[in-house]
Amino acid sequence: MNDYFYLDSQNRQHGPICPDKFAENGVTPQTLVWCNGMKDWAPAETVPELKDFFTPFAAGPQPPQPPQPPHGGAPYHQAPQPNGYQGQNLPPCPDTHMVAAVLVTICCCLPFGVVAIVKANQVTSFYYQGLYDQAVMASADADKWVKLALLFGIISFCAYGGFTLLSLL
Amino acid sequence: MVILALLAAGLSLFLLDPAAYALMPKCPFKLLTGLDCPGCGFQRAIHALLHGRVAEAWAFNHFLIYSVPYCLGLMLTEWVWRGERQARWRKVLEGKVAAWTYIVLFCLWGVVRNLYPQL
Repeated sequence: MNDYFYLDSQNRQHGPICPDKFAENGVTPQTLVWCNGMKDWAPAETVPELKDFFTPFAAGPQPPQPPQPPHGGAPYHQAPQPNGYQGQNLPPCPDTHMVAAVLVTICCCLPFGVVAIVKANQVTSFYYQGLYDQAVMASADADKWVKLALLFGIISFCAYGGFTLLSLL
Repeated sequence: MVILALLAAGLSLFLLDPAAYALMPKCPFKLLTGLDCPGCGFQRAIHALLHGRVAEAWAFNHFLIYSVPYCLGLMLTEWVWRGERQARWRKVLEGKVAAWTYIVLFCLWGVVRNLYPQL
């Protein structure tokens, strides 16, 4: 079972918490939640893994909002923290695709693999600067370049295989 | 996905000697330019390595002595380690310094191996 981040009614991010704790934290079927592996925030009721956690009280009125966390009087408006890895406020780091990028460079797909490494490196740099959105974009870019490199490799392999077969005939 | 593909590739590289079969994947860069790319020889090298012939592997591609451990480190970071340890290693292995060191060495090796093929 994954731990989930969730957004409260003021769109402030909390968590990650175990789904067992959803009720006491005021997470409802409509609350937007997110965990590692999900593309985007989604209402909790639409996450297959979470279905069972809602059936008992889905029909009832919304549970009351939880009291303020015991952080003393710390105001909340500094929500997205600059140092994501210290606070628990940022969702987990998006996939960096670094392993795939390095593998792709070794497997002879020169230019694209190098771009993928640069992008993969940006994912972590952005993430640890707290720039989560940019990290997600860099992650998507890295993925794109890895796939381009793979495609390039596969096409050239097929072309080569085709020629070899033809010349054997 | 990636792990499965890796296992499949590893198994086929263990069983088949890439030098012996015409249909094993060839380097597109080498086909186009006739030059050795920085990765050329890695299939033969991995094949040798999987059969315990380290010296032979080294002869096929010197760069692998750096890139294989680096890649294993990355895999541990991404797929095995979690939490604090993962964050720490990620900053080291996927940081600017490591990424650019890899790229520069990779390109340098590509130039050197073509200038001095006897190496």
